[in-house]
Amino acid sequence: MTGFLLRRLGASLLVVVGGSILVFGALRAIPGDPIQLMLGTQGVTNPELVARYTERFGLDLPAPVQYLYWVGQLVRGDLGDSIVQPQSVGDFMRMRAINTAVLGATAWVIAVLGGTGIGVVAALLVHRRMWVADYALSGFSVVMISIPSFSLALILMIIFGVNLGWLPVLGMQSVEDSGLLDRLRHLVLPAVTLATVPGFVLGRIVKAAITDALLGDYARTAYAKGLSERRVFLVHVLRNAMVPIVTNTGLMFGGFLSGSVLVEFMFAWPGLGRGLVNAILARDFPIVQGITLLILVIFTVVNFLVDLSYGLIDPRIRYARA
Amino acid sequence: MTRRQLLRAAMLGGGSATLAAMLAACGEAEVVEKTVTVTVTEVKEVVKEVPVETVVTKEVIKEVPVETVVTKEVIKEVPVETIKEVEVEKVVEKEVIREVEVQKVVTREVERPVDVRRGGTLILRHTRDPQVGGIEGPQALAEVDKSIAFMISETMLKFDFEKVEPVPWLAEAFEISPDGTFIDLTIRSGIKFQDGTDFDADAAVFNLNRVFDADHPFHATGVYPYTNWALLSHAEKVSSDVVRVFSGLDADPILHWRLTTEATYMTSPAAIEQFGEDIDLNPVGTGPFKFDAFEPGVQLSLVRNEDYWNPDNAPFLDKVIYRIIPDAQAAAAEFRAGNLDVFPFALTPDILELRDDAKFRLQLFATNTYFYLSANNAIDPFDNPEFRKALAHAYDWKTRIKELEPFNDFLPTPWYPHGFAYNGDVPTYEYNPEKSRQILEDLGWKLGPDGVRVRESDGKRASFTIAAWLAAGTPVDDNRLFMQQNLKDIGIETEFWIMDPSVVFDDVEGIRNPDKLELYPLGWNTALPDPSFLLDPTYLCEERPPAEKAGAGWNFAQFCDARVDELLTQARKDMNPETRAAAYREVQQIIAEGAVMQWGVLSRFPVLIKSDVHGLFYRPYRVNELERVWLDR
Repeated sequence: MTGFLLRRLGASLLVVVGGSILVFGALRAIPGDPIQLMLGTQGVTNPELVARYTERFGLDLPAPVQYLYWVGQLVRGDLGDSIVQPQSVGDFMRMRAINTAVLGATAWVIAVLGGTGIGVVAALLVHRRMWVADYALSGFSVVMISIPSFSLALILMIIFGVNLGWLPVLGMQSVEDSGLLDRLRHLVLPAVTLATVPGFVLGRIVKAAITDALLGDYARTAYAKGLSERRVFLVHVLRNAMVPIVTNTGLMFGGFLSGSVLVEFMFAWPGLGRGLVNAILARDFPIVQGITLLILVIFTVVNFLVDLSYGLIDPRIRYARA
Repeated sequence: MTRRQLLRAAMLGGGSATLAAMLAACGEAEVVEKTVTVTVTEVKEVVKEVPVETVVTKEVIKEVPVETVVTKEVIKEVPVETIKEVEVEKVVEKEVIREVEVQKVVTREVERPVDVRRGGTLILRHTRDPQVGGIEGPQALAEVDKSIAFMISETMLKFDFEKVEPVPWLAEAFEISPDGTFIDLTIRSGIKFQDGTDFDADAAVFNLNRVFDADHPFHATGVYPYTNWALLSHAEKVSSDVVRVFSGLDADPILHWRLTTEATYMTSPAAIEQFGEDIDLNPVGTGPFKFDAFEPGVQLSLVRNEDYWNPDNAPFLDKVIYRIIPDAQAAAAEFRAGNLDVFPFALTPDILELRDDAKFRLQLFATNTYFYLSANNAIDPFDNPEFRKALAHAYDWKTRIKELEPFNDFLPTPWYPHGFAYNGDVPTYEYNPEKSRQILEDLGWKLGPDGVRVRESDGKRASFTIAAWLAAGTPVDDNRLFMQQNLKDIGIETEFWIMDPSVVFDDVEGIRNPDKLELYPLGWNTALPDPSFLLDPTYLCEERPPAEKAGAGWNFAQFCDARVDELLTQARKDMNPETRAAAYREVQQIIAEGAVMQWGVLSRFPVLIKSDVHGLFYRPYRVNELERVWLDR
């Protein structure tokens, strides 16, 4: 087990390092000088200022030297300074990471509960041969999966924010009232928007996994032993269907935690995704590098945990590794 | 970890970045104004019927003697063909008013309103967080940052856009030396910074030298992006209340204008010493509003400066909140929900819809921004003035404005009518594709079988590129497509030379490459309406890229004329306003006669506001002034 853990950790580290080199190289390869972009779009061509900034951010150095310099800073816990924002990358990311985590975790809970519920209901409909209801639910799921998140965001904003006035249209808090309840109300629409597509996708995965499990020998045996449907379902079927569900919910969790670009942008949610968009547009290399590094780490850790969880869910996997 | 898992993790990381780039492009695309159908022609007769300052569509429409019921009655009695005509006339008459409305521009209130409600909080939409330089006066980089910074700090002179000249502000008087090398400013007594320290001659000298003198002990606390525009050298204290500011030029007839520009805003020296480089997000000025709080990605707030020195300019509002909402469509929903008072940078379709709502008003503010189409004058065939005239006659500006930019104005001259030394008598080139075709025929460009002209003498095809700077995934904008269609109509084939916005001013990949640039559209903004800010950089020979002079290289058209150079150089240091104006007028005449560029659009800045917001003003470079804003609530 220890050997397995060490191998996985080593591989994860390689993924992070490789990914960071990839991002670093890609940023330098795409056209556009960040200093010229920042100043030039305002008509500012002060050559001394351009030179000062280029030197200050080490952009006059060869790319490999820049990377090593960045890694050196990173080891000391310093992500560097933003080229465009008047703050350090660490400061820029800190609050945004928390905001994204709050939104992502809420959306994840909604998606997992909602998706699992829909999947279970859909599987039961199939199991009980209620075809009309099954088709209706499947069709509805496809429609919800097909709606782009920015369209869904606008639809929800208009209905619940503008027309009904039940929920705030956007933002993370009201101008005056920023208590817990106010913040929770602001969380609803972006979290639901973010959770909708993954939730319905998860619903389809859950449905397929449970339907498969219901056809398994163990399910048939359980029924033959005279166990109640509830017991068969909860103890035998659901647990066997958990592996693909956990894989998907784990990846979904990683995706949510690393920020949802569109939803954050639409709802003016000050998270990592929105910060990443602006940074890419402005060629703000340090911020792009910082955020993508965080995303890499999150995905790698989540993958690692998901792998470990397989053994807990399915003893056969644990025995195989042993 | 298996190889498959390794690959999956790498793909997810890379995929996120790719997706972000694509979505970034989506965000960029939202800024592009989409096609708007407004079919109108005549405007003059109805102008007087529109209220002077604001736009209230419903009220105006009521003034039109077109009653739907009456029209219907008539329709029943006439043949079908006539009905169509009546309907068309009705639509046109309604739209005429709309065009009149959009030509109205809000001007700053000269008289301070008396019967106002004091207090309240104004909430404005803000597009993003402050950029590098923050919101400190001399450091603020972009217009949205300046909107905040210039409410907090002030300059010694303030530009009066109605009088087109600077007026005393923190300095109560000023006098330029006869040779234009320095200006003496008498500091107004009794003014204090928002931290309670005095604004005096020492503070003024400290601020100016901090920006312009690289050896100043606090120079390194800022970035000062606009120092090279100010063209100032340094400042000296002459007496306890007089400061002398030296020009960076041999003689400068607009030295007093420069004391109103970005680089000359005043910050408390004590605050600079206290905050160091962090002064950018902790500004302390003398202005009507004080910095209150900044929550990144959420909002930035200002509060009224209770100790403001100028009672005639003291704000009515208690508080101002800039809510950071990057997406324009989402901001429109928030505005509809009543959670924003002022909504700048809205998309055209939203403006057209919301301005008809009684809860809101549309205000149009004058700008010093105009748009033109141009060509690289140094290359064949654009080096021929006759060919350029053919281009000028081909562009249908009025239709373009009507269809695509309903808030803008037509401007066929090289300089603004509201600027210094405007020459309205220069030749202009009306839209006349037939005349354009005839010129090309006369020049030997004959129409080929595929509809593209070919020059008889050497077989050269009339096929060129139009420079287009677009974020990844963004479609070519309607204005460029319109330009392409206009050229196609006269037998000129074009394709787009697409570049990333980040390289647009690059010497090789961008429009500063004189060997690659052919046709291009461009917009130009001058903070102040002096021709030197526009004509010098765009028409001087030394400004042709790749320019040797540091900071130069804005003459993308590669235009070069000895007489124009002489006139511009002379005007730049001419202390006599009359001869200076004459020089600029002659320059306008020369470049218009040569159709050096094809000028067309003077931009207006549309801002949606709640109907109970009054006194809002935006300077011509889209920076807000909120001192006179009051809320009728």
